[in-house]
Amino acid sequence: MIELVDLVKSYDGVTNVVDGLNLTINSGELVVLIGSSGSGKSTILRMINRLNSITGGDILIDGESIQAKNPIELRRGIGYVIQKVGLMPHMTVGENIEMVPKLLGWDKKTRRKQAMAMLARVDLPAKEYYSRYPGELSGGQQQRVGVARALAVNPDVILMDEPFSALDPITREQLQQEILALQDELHKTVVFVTHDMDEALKIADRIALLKDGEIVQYSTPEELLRNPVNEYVREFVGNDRLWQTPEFLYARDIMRTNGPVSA
Amino acid sequence: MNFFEYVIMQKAEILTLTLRHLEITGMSVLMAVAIGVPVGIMITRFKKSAGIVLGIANIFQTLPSLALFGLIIPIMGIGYTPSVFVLFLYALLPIIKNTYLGIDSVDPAIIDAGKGMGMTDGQILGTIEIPLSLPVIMGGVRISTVINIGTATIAALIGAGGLGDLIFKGISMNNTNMILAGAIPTALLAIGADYLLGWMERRLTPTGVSAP
Ligand SMILES: Nc1ncnc2c1ncn2[C@@H]1O[C@H](COP(=O)(O)OP(=O)(O)OP(=O)(O)O)[C@@H](O)[C@H]1O
Ligand SMILES: [Mg+2]
Repeated sequence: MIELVDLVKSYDGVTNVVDGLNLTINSGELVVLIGSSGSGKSTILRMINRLNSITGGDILIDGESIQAKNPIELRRGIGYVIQKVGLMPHMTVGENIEMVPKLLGWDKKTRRKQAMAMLARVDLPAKEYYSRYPGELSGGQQQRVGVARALAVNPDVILMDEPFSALDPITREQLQQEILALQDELHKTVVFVTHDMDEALKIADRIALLKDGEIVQYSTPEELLRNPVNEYVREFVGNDRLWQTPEFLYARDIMRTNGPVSA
Repeated sequence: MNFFEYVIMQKAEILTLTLRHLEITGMSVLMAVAIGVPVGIMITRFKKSAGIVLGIANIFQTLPSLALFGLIIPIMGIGYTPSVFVLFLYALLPIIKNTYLGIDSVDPAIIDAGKGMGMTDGQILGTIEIPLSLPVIMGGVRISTVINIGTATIAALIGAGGLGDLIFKGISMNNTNMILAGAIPTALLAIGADYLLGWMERRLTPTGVSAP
């Protein structure tokens, strides 16, 4: 469980980019942070793995303040996927996936086995891709490796910052399906940033809609569609989507096995 | 006596001076690497100091070499040490600058990913920043070496030895063979070093990264 408690972030000491935010993400839950550009999504995500410092309030993971932990060790236990992928161009796919296992001192054989397993998990033929360089992969394949790398040491928490936003719609769709399938199996605690409402509605257990560093609404996708708390949410969700709601819900409820029940 | 007869007759002397030439050049460049690379890395960490450090190194580069050799005599006298020291100052700028530019040009997203995975600053430097900027750093070493092979001939004026000895002696004695016996090996050394270090530069480009 991740708890953000009265969280405040200010870069310049004058304006608060995150302003007294409270948010609880249950274990095994995939929560999407959505909001317009500059609303503080990346800032919040990067505070969870301490890439950004905390100005005020606290973040607890399983009840323990992350500020009491060594940031290096904390990060090794949290998967992190970013939009720009950030694969090391001078290392093979295998070496990229094995980075954190190596930092944690796993032996070579175990590392390799794990990398192979992770590649298979993200639907890349392991033998074929293990020794390739990132530059030889398509954007979608690179991001699959990025996901495999984040999963490599089986962390409980995974942070994803617009991981699919640079991909073409078809590839994006595939990777969204992939994430849903992985999540059904692995039940990680995932914080996923996007500004694509379709993506959020599709993959989220719960959606936190942010505006200027504050939460406007935090609810299930169904609830967000059905009962937007104010005009801002209504607009953000889009009136056409609200209009389509009954159909949308119907499809979701059939497809999902463990989602919330709707009327 | 034609030039080839002269070279054959003087081959021991020419060889000794060539080795000496290589020694002063090599020593000055090695020292410049030992100091310049760490300084180059440091100024990527303290960006505000970059302008000042590069500015100072630039001054040495801009001063005419003859003037710098002249200035060093009252301070350090003549001979091997002051010569190598001046050449070291010359080699410094390309090495510091290329180290700085190489490390600074590594994609921030890659470093961010490394940090996010829990790499320490040292691990990021050693396994990401240096390997990725090595070809650029080597480019600086190549430039310094080639410049210094040329400049080292002038160091003969303050008693460094090396191929400059033959050139200056040849000029004062009006002996063309002697001048060429100094000038041609110098040129060959410069071309050879450029080729060899260029080859190393390509070798050091990590697989998976296209040459810059
Ligand atoms: N390192 C930084 N220094 C100063 N200000 C920053 C820094 N990073 C972000 N900000 C500011 O904080 C605010 C929130 O930025 P953040 O990157 O968290 O937004 P975001 O919701 O992720 O936006 P986007 O959708 O564009 O990625 C913005 O106003 C931004 O300019
Ligand atoms: Mg962002």
